Amino acid sequence: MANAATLDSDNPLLRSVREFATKRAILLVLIVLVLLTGIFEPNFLSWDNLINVLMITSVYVIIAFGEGPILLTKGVDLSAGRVVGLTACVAASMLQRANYEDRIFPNFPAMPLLVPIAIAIVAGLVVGLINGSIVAHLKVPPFITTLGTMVIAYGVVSLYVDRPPRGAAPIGGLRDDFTNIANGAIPISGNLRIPFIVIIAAAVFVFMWVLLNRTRLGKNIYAIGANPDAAEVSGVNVNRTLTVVYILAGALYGLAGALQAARQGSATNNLGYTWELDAIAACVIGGVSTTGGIGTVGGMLTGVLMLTFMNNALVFLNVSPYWQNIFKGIIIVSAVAVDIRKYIRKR
Amino acid sequence: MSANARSDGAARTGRVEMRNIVKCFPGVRANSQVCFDIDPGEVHALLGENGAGKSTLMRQLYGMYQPDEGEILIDGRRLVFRSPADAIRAGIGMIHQHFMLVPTLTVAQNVALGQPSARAPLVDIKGVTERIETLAQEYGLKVDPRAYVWQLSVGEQQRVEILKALYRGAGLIILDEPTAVLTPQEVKDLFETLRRMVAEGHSLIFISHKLYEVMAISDRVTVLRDGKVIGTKLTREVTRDELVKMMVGREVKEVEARPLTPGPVRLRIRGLSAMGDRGTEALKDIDLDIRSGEIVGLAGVSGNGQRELAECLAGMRRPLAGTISAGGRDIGAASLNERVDAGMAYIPEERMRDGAIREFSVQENVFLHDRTKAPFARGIFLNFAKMRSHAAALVRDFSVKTASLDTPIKNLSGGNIQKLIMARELSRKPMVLVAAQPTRGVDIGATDYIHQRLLEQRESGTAILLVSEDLDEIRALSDRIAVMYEGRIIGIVERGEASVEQIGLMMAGVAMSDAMKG
Repeated sequence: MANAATLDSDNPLLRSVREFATKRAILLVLIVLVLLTGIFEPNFLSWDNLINVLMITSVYVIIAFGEGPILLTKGVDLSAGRVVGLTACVAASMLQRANYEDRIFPNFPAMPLLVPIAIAIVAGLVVGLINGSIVAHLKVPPFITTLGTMVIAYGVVSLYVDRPPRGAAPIGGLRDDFTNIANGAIPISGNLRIPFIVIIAAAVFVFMWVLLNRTRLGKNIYAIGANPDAAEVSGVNVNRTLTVVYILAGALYGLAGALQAARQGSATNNLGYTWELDAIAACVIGGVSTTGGIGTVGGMLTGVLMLTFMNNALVFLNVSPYWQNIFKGIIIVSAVAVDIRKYIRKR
Repeated sequence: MSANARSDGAARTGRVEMRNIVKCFPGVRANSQVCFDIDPGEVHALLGENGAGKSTLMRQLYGMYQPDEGEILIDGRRLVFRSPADAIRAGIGMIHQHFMLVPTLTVAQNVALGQPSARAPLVDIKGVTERIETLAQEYGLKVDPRAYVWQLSVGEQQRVEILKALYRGAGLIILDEPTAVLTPQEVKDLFETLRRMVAEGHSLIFISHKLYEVMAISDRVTVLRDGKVIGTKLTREVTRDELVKMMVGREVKEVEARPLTPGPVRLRIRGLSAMGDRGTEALKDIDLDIRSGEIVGLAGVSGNGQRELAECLAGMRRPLAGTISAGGRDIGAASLNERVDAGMAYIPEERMRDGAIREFSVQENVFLHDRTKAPFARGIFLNFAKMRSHAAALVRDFSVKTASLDTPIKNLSGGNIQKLIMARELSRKPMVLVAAQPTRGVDIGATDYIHQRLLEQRESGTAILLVSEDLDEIRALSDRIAVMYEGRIIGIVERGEASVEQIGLMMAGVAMSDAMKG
């Protein structure tokens, strides 16, 4: 052990390589994964497939950007997936084609596209407001609070969708201008194109990056996670900050819900089931610490890319979906095991 | 912005008055009818034992707690502080005993935390940095605004806390035990800064239990005991002994170690090195012998390897190299149980983390280690009657104040918890005792008691390593003083051989030969 230490410190090149490898381990694994799969299955690296993966990533990453800051404050949001499902149904129910026979609201007027999307976002925001208020003011632990609202959100969306005599059938027949948001793209050349949904996700990325790195709210979030007492005595309004973090998350879930409904062209009350676990997994894989105060927007994105690329690669390699779950579990645990070495107390 | 505008000139906060403050916590009346006031430009010391209610009182002034009864007035105007943010706006700042900084943020980010920004909603880091540099210059507070807080020494962190208060335009600054973590030289620098602050028109509340500091810096002093004001005096009209009597309620004589001829070496450390929590080498090539009937005091500024050394001895940290032997037995790689068998006992620095289990009862905490041994266990069965009588005897012998043996230990005061841990460790009749910060956060009465017990243990032939940041304690008890600096023992002096200043120089890294010249 002593030997290894001296070897490293003697060789600055080796040391910086090692430092980079520990710091960006996940990114390296991701790149290796993509290249290896590309070698076995060249189609994996085709524009069509890469764009497809990015489109899948886009919805998930928006959810992760809601979940991530909550994890930074030492909280957790279990309601994320169900809120995505709820808001997807809300958006879809108002954007069915007028001539579609199985409309959830048969006489619903045609609305400008942005209105139902805004309503979906507000619906998510309201759940976030409820979560945040309970966590901040009633001091119920986030795990319990959002466990409750997760179940409630499912109850609400089921009541909303399941209208006799129609039953809880999927809400389909969505308007083309709506589905086009998710599936349309700006053509560049040949197969290369930039989907609208990716542009939306990129905009959210930039917004979140500025928010967490450059604003007072961002610094307050990190401070609350790393040392809540310090934040309090420094004059940070901890309760308000917490509430805002949950509200922001809810709004992002609302956006993600609308986009997901558009992407799949329909929505059911079961949409989003366990997606919060994927979002949490992606954040931890990307280096967000569940003990609060540590994590970056880039890390959250890397974590989501890691999960979506892995799923996609395993499909390409004809690996059974059961194995995908096993790999996912292994990656979650080993990513954190590697990542935690940055902060571990050596005894 | 308002902070900038205000503190460019002399920041002043008017006459602050706390009237008939009552604050109760479940089962405790922490403050009862306390009156306290402070004039502009005054240094008012608040003196009292742990648990006397000083911090509780000040936390109400800083908006962290709300008084049950009574009122707070500034210049005769009644104010209600619902949070520290309100107190900050009223021009009050507080330097906490346990620093309230966010380790993962930079100095500038910490200073700006929770404050309005010139470029809202963005953080104006450039402006904040410049402002910090101006303030640092003005008050002699050297610190790099770009450094991360986790990289700073304790002294530097305290300077950041002071800068934070100044940046917020605080005219009245509350300092909660500010010297507890500093070297004598750093204390001098701090007092220099405090005098500059007073000259600029700041008023200061100085909380301490170190009497000579109170005498040196304050204009007035208020003594609290059991949540009540015992008296307020002009510092120049009161003596040290009078203050002690007001604090403790009785006379306290200082302990004195009887000269003893030490016996054979009990603890031998050779070439010991170990890593710290940050993965850097925290202990470098330590050689130290401690003899039977000898107390060796380990002095040093916090973070220079004392904690790591104590943990290596206790078996809580693995050494990289070197040997430790107790009574001739090599224990360098021994488990905790093997160490106990070899005659080692340990009073940990973090008594609630490493020395006790909060939710467990007094009795259960007595038996954290020994419950598997005769006569308390036979096979897989425990002898509860024996355990109970043993625990009762310890509680009686060490005068631990507890409602019962079944009271959760978290309900005891710091001093009583420490007495119980000490009782447990000493009841094994150890050959070697490592006592890390045994009196930190412990009241004068209990401190006195713990000191007596350590000296008794010395006379009965135990080899004792006393790790402490309280230089007075080390000087009063130790036969020899080993000073640590950056993971090394920079020098070892005999009792009475070196002055406080000389030890202080060594704590700051001056070689022993040079320090002893001055």
